[in-house]
Amino acid sequence: MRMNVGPRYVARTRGRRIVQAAVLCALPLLAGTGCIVTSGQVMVSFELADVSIPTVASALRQDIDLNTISEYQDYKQDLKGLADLAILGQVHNMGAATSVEFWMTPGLTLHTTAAAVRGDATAVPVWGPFAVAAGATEQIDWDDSAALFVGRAPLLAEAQGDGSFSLYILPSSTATTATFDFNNGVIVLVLDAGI
Amino acid sequence: MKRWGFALLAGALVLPGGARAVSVGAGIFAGPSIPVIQDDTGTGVQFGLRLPIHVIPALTIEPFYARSNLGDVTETFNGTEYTRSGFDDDSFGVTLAMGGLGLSPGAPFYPYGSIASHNMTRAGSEDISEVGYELGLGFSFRLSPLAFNVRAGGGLVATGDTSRKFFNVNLGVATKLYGKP
Repeated sequence: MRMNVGPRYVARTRGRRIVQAAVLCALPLLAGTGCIVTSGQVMVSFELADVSIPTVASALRQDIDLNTISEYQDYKQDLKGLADLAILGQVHNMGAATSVEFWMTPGLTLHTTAAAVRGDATAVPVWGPFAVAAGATEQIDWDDSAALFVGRAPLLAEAQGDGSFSLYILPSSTATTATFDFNNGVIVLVLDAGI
Repeated sequence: MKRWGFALLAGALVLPGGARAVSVGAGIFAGPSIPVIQDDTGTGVQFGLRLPIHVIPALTIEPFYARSNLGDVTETFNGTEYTRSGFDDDSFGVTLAMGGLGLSPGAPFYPYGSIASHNMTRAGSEDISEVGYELGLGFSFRLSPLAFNVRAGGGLVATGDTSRKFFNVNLGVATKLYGKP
């Protein structure tokens, strides 16, 4: 049998060697990274009802069930973390300068006052405080809101658990007065999940 | 036996050029960086500096610095439009390319792999300082005294149990600073 050892054959052989070597080099990298390759950051949102806070002592509740979000259901089993969190909406302050917070309880609760929320041992602050000048209407900026999110761990625990919890909006503990509306609210979660 | 096979393969790549001189170049590059399965950051631009070092003709070791300015994401929620800033990613690392990159002898098409330290920042988020990897293919051609490179590769930055992934395409130009022409 005649062997083809011309320049083209040598070039092809060398090309194959280079590709093989590249594949061999790639395998340790892929092995080292494991299943993190098959993951992504998926955005989901949950719309909140419009609420009015009449006094500084008030707290208003909304029960959240993440299971009503189809994308959340799709990724819940492989949820690894929360890559980004925000509460968005508009705050219309009808009184003196004040600030706003969001708290959550892991279970569904029925508190109606700010004191009751803060007095609940299971309640944790998740967002805020967000300051609003007297008489002002503030649109919450997405970047600013992400920076105000302080409840990543408890919210992740809920997202990885039953996905159901109570969310409270209330004036900050430092506020001396509060009469405001919170409109067009939405919670935005970026799920860090396997795909 | 497989170890010996790999050693022989590596030797076949390195020995023919072993006696040749070392050369060092410098180059710049830029191109789009496209996030993959990342809803919270958009397509942006990546640019940077490379220092291709040819110890042997079929292999280039290339320290680099890259910066990616990823795009913002705008979404409408409950009737209102909001914008989330994209990440800025600074990375320092090294690329290993199976080719001369147009500055030294080697096939015009070449595979490459890189490892780098990434620092990803954006407003309202904790910084992500993690190791990243990229694998891809490049094409080089020379218009003396410059060498041009087009590269396309997939990269990821490990973030615990998950990762941030990107598809990067860039055009680079380099010149030899030291070594035989």
